[in-house]
Amino acid sequence: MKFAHIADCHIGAWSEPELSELVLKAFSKAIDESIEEDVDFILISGDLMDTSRPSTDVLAPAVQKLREAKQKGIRIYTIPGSHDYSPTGKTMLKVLEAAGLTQNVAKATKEQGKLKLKFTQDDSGTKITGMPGRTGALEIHDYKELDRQSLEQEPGFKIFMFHSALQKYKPEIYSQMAGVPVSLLPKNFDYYAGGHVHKKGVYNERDRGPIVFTGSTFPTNYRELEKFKKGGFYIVEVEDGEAKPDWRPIKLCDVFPLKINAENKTPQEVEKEIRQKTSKIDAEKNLVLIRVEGTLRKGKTTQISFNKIKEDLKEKGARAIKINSRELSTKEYEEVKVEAGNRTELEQKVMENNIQQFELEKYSKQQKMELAQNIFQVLSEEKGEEETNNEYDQKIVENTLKTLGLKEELEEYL
Amino acid sequence: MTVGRIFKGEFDEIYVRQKEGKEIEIGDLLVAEKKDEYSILQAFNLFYGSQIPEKVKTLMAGMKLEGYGKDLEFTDPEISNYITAKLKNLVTVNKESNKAVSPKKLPQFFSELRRIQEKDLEFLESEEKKKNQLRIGKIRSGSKTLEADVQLPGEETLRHHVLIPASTGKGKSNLVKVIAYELLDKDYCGFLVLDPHDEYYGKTSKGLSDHPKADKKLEMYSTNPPPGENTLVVHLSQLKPRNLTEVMDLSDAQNEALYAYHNKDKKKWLENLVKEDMKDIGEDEFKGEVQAKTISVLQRKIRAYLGIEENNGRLSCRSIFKTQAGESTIRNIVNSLENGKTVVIDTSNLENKVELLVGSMIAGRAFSKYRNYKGRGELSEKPVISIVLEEAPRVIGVNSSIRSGNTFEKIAREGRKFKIGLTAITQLPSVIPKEILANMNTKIILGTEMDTERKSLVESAPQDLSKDDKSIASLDIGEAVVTSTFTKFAVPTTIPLFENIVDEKQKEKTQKSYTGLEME
Ligand SMILES: Nc1ncnc2c1ncn2[C@@H]1O[C@H](COP(=O)(O)OP(=O)(O)O)[C@@H](O)[C@H]1O
Ligand SMILES: [Mg+2]
Repeated sequence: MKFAHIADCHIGAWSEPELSELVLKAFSKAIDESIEEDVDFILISGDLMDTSRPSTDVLAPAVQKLREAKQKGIRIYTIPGSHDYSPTGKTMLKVLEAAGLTQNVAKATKEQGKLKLKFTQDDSGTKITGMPGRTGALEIHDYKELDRQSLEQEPGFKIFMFHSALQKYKPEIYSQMAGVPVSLLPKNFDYYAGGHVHKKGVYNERDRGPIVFTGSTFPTNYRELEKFKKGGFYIVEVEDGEAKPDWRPIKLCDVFPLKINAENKTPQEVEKEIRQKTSKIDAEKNLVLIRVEGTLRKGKTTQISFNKIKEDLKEKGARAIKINSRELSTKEYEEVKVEAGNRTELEQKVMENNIQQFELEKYSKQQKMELAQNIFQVLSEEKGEEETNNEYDQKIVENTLKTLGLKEELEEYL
Repeated sequence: MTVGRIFKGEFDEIYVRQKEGKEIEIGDLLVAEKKDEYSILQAFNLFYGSQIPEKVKTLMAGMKLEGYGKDLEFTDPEISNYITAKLKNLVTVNKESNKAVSPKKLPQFFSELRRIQEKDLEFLESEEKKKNQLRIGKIRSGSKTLEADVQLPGEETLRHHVLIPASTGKGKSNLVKVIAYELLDKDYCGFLVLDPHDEYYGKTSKGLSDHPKADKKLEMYSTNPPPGENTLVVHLSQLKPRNLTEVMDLSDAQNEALYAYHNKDKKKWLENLVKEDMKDIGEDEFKGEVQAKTISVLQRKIRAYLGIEENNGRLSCRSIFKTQAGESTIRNIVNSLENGKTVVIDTSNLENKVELLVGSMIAGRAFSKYRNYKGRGELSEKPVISIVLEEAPRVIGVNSSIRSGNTFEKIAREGRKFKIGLTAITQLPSVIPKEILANMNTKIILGTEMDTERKSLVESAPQDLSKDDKSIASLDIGEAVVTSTFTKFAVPTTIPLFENIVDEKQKEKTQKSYTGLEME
């Protein structure tokens, strides 16, 4: 028997079309190679999609690929990951399952206060089950309620799919990522198909088959591009009940990560250095990463003409150029910079950095944050079509006061 | 109500005659009232008093012993013979404001004394109304326990170090469990417990894991963790030269060699050093800047210390240090502490030296992180971190088994500036250097039998305990004296038995919807 283990494809990731396309290509390559290898089934351990509802531009070709596998008789099993999770359950995974393309194995019943996972049996006889993963390792509470005994005693060749970082094996670059203790993975499975951590790794624990992280099929952010340069997945052969994972890198192009130390230099010196370094690489069809760090001696960071550098590299045929200047600053004036992936995260961080300026007695930082977020929420509510301006105004004022805990006190003025 | 009356004495030694039929015990708390204030006094010695001349008493005792004068009695025996108690002034309380001050006046001459009651202690409540109180037990009068909590301002107390001295079996571990249990309810302290006896978590008996909030607030690391807890493994790359020089006995050349390897490769330096092939190299030759002889000796020492073996170029480690796992362990632990959690490190399967090494890695990482927060002005938002050390003299003081100037000593000396404190447990406070002992602003003294140990405690106590030697010597299991710069007086305390405070009601049931799982 043979199967493929894929995870963290993040279809829909990257806003740059060139990189977004590489994400799709990498996914296609993993499926193609699985078909070529004539696997019995494919496991996708979460984060197939980058969001719960990706755009059709990327969705259509991805679904097309899944269908190709399906037509070859290959079964595809999934679990929801932190990215394709949605609180309402409205995810693309549901649609894929309804179309008969994939099967979600993260299924359970509640029995005597315990969470009993159900097994999905593949035609090969393999029994598969798994647990979804959430941002911040929120799944940990569900793990603690698992009926472990029934899982551990289930006979036959069985696979556990999961989408969580493991505290014990978490690589240093992801040490800030919340994780789950390895002791929570039920014992006696023959293969543990992991996702969520974007670095590959095979780990051995007593009473457990290999615990495998595939890494993503393509890096999903700058740091990963710089560090890993490519993604991959596993082809797993099973002989005499023993699973033997074999990593298959997915290399789509070369990646050239350049690091420039700008400490105590002028914008002109930095630019010259970048040009010197870029001139030496074979940019054609490849990815160029330029990280500039340090504090300039004088001048402004904007005096380094990054756009021109980009254009010149494009001219030389580079597939894409990513410039990272988050750690670049200058002595001339201090910029306030906040790093964040998306808008909500950005709001959260800005709030976090400034919240302590609000003097609210008896409120902890956490409570202040909550209050601020609640007020944000109340104030950003839009006017309904049926509502008059007056009704809307009144509602907003009332909700705000309620949130602030001032409704009673101000009742008489309203 | 009256148990005695003051009849002579001076400020720190007030004589009280005991009323016939009443009994004053050593340690008893008594109250003398004035119009607007009352004083709380404590008995520290007892002796006989009598109106009858010495000679007569001796004669009388002799006659009784030898069988003469069966019916012989003193006239008015309850008047002529009695018991005298020596008391010391603990605190004076203003009735109007309910505020306590250190006593500066004598109680009224000839005042009556009565036993203390709960209401006399209400000033403790009003005074300590601030949040983040750390309850450690109830007020004790002699051997009787009163319904009044002994509380300390938690954050400040832990930041300024807590010393828990006592002879074996007097309840040190029990007390730390009580404190940790209390802290699990609060968010103001990250509590790190290095647990060499695996007695805190409660794998088999009652323990911290029985706390209703254990799920969210308690983490445990062990070489053999129960489901849900973490494996104690540390990646070799996490060791820095400083960690090794702190715990190992190395020559200057060896120290330099460590740094030379570290400079070459910050991540793999130790692996490289241990694996360095020394077969075909003469002793006096050099590898890089380091003499071959130095490398060989270092290799031997480090392998022995960390329990590393090499087979065909692969390292295998008997202890918790690995090359395959544990890259984030130390960081995770420090993060949890920084989030106000309690982290228990079960070191029962580790050699003493490895326990201290991991302990100092965590402590060191926390220390430098907090120092950075201070530099950036963010320290005030962080919870205090307290590190529990069993047998503290292992790391602090002349007899310590690791280098002086190590992280723990640094914390003992200047940790409070960075909001990191020690909760130091010991049977031998006398071997802790005086200035460190004096820096520990709260001492929770349990039964201490050895004279020399009591002496060092009395000398370093924030309050005057010169009269308390006897009562400290006679403290039973569960009885304590809390002397602290954060209390107005040395508070006699009863510590509860941990098993009795564990909340019997079931653990908080967590959410009941399983997000992401398809429920059938
Ligand atoms: N506050 C207390 N009240 C009643 N019994 C106690 C108390 N503290 C400790 N004990 C008893 O004494 C025993 C020894 O206590 P322990 O805390 O292990 O002592 P130590 O750590 O000082 O050696 C415990 O097993 C417990 O039964
Ligand atoms: Mg003990």
